[in-house]
Amino acid sequence: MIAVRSRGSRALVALGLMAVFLVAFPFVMPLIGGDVSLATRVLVLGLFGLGVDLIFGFTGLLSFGQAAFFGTGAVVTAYLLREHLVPNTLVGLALGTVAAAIAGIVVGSQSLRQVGVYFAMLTIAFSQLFFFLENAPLKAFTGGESGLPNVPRAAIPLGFTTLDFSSALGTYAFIAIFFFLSYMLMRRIIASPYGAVLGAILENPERAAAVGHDVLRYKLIAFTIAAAYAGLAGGLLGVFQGFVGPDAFSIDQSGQIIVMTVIGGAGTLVGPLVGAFIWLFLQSSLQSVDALAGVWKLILGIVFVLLITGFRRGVVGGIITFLRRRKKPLEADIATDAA
Amino acid sequence: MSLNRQSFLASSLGAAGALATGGIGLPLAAEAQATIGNFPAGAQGSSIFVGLCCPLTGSYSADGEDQRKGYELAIEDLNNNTGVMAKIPSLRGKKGLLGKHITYKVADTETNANTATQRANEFIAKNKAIMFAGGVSTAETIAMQGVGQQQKVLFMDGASGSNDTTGKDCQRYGFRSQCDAYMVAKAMAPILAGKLGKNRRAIMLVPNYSYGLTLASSMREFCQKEGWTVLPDVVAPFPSPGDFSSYLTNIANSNADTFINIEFGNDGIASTKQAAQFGILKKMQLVVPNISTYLADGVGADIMNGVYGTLEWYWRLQDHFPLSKDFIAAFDRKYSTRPRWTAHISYAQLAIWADAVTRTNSFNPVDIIKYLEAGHPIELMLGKVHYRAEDHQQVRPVPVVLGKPKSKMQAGDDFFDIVAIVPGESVMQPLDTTNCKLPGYT
Amino acid sequence: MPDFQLIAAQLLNGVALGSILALVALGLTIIFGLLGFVNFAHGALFTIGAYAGWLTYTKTGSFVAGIGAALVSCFIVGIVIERILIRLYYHRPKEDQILVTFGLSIVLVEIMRAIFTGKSQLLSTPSWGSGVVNLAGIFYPQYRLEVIAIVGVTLVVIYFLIYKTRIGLVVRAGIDDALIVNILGIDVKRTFLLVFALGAALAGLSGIIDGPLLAVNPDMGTDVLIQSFVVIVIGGVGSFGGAVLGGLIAGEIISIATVFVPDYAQVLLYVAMAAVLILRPQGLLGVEGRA
Repeated sequence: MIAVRSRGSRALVALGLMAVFLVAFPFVMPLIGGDVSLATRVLVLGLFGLGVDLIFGFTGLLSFGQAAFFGTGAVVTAYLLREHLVPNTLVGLALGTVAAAIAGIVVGSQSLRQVGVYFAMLTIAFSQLFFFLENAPLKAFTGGESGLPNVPRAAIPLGFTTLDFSSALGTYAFIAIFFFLSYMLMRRIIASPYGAVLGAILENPERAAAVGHDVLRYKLIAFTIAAAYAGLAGGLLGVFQGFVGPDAFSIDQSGQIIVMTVIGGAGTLVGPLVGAFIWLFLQSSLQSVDALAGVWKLILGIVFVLLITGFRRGVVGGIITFLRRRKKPLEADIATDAA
Repeated sequence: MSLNRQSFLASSLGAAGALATGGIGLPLAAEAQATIGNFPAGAQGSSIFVGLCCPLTGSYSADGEDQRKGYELAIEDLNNNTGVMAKIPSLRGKKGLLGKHITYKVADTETNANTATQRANEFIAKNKAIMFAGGVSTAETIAMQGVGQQQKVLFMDGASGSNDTTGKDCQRYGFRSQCDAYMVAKAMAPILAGKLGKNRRAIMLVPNYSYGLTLASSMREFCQKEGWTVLPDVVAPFPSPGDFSSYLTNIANSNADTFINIEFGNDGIASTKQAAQFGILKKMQLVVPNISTYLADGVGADIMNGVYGTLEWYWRLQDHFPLSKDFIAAFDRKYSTRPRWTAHISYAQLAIWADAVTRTNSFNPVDIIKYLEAGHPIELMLGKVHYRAEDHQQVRPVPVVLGKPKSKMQAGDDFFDIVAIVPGESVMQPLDTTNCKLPGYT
Repeated sequence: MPDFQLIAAQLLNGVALGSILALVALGLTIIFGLLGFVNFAHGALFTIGAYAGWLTYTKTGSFVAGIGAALVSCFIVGIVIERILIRLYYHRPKEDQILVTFGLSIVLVEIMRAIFTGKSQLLSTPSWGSGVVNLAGIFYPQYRLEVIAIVGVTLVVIYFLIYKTRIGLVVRAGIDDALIVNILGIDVKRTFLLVFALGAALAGLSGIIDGPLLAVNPDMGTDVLIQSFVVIVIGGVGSFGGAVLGGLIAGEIISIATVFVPDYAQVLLYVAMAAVLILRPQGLLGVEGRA
């Protein structure tokens, strides 16, 4: 876990770098063979990953069911928007996020009593339940296996005019703003006393409980926040690609975001963003090489296994450790051992 | 450091806002002239680009492979004026399309609609695709139809058998050639009644999702019209349990004499194998209304023997349609195997598109759409086919087939005989029931 | 009210289905119960067993040879991945074990797809398994009844191996206290290796046994993994009896639910799994403290 500060010069540097990155990203992408839409997708998954990193990287909870909340936010937002039940995109996103958070409370309150493998298995069971609900009884709302197409693009009516974000760059900007604000909020959460307790729970839950913290309550709050982030990301997915389908609920989706978080580096907040970039970029560019078209997933799988085995802190974690070591070798080692 | 936090935040948000406005502002200028999607930008060079999105991994990877082969053969034939493309009147003697060489890329959708959408968007943005095609699962196809509509780039559907594709999820920029659930059921029922009799008791194994439920309800409707008794459906969950024994126990203990299996793909294979093990196939006649590409390979000829069903296309149609013969010959030469129906869809869709482009002398998608909507018939591997304007469903024959005994198989994939070729006109879904409202051209 | 015959048939089906589920879960419960190691690659090993068995059966015409091939190939694969990868993870957090085996399963499945393509292969029941048995008016596949017997034999063999042999004693001791066993001069590492390979072999066995019922393709193992979790959660971790009981209960839940609420049968299983995890996480026969 990398310590995060919410105020002071460190915070400003981090936020500044993020802002610079967000502005530059869509313009750099085409130069390296990507494009704006891929950049937008990276942000959507990076936002999803902020929540996953909160519960996994900072609290040590490995959930294989986050797709349930991603999907919930996606279909609620998409349904409200395409049926014109809400006045604008923002309200649709807000309601999708709330729906996902409620789902998070329901699932979390039952699952978090368990730890480790049992917890993971519970999240899988609940996730399968959500997948079933999406496909069958609720298919009038979710579109079932066909999904919900024709989700309107982002637009904010201001009375005298409407801000239309429907172009590729406009959609990117809309989502980048959400990502920046969500990132800033998450940094605040981590740096707060609440976040410190999460860190204590990550390190030694028994000790944290002994000191008097209601561990279950802290975990539940974290889990709900993560669900809300997942729901917001899901809603943004629909707005971005104009479509949400059952894949948003699948166990593949849950697995994928975990892989991205680990590859990028858990406990760094930007890890999932980096991991999403690596995964999506490799997926896109490996396919251009004809010989590798059918085996790109195999290559990514091998990379993933190698990273977990040898490079546990992921790309970002590894970079941060490297930078620390250069500045203050001994303290860096102590800090990293503690993490 | 005395950086004021508030002002920093304000300026970074301001930067983002500028980015957004820039994003909003720029396209307004571009749309001043008659640009539709990637036209004319994608058609200004000496070559044009076609984006192909096929499931090369995931549950439909076998179909995806067949689909890819069909596309690649079609483009090769178009560029070199060989094969079936050379026999289409408008394309005779012409290499490429309107003098331009066709380039393409195949992307893996992973049988995942989100991935399909991303790949499609990339083809459109990066490669200036003038048309894109693909998809095997319904979600993929519907998602990509949406991309086509949104980006104003023509999408020629790959495989898709759901009513929704030209029903509630229909799009102006999408064209679907496969017979949908309604057509399959309406075509099959009279043939079944003719071959098997009118007083039968049928029971159906139905996967609980839209495609399964609509096909089942259409089968029920049309079989009952023929005088059949259709027992209550045995509905299995979707996604499937893999092991259908509890559902087949229900079926084995019913007094039906006809077992209609609506399960598709790998679920179709598993459920059919298990049904054979339950002895159901000895007691009951098996009917598979929509036979998936590799069902027969997966269950074996012994089980497929005597089974009635429909195939989107089948190689023995070469005895009825000369272009099927040419298609098979060219495919076999290139790939040392015969095509299945997913490859047929690929090839036929590209042929129809190429013909439309040539006849309108334009790559403008609106011109092509209007040409296709005018319903001009074109002679292809299933004889004359054309598109219906109101929902972009192709009017084409439905081949009904019967599984043959192993001893009569003349080749490793010779699983069926053709029983009937039902004309498409007679089985189209009435337009007032489709719920299709095509959106605009621009 | 559905007739008695149907309910009786479903009860029988529950036992047969339950045996299959128990067999499938057995490999997972051995590794999880004995080594405390979470093996998310269990479904991939199942798939490898199915393919190895199919290949051998097709080439030799002997299903028994196919069973042998499945056991041997998965045993070898188990040894290989344990030596290269798994042994690095015994002392790493559970989450890491889940992650690495999850990644491993992607790798193994994609290798299968590259070799065999995504097309489903034809694997029929063996000649001694085809046919339908008439049990007092209930018609039931002979093969599934034979599977009950196969599962029974396998359980007896495993029980004997673990609890009645010297190797088994070493295994159990090594799990309880590896340090002491090491001091006594016995190679604990080899013990762990054997247990892992055994679990892998059992996964492969379930693959070839279950193969004739399913579509044999690279993705066939995904559902298997989840089903196995359901079974060992309900029955109890670290207990062979738990695998059997869990399998039987799961089988009966599905079968009886199919009589009354068929489209919810699968879902009820997940509800049951969640309920057990919430109320009694160690399962019905499980030993508290494991994992």
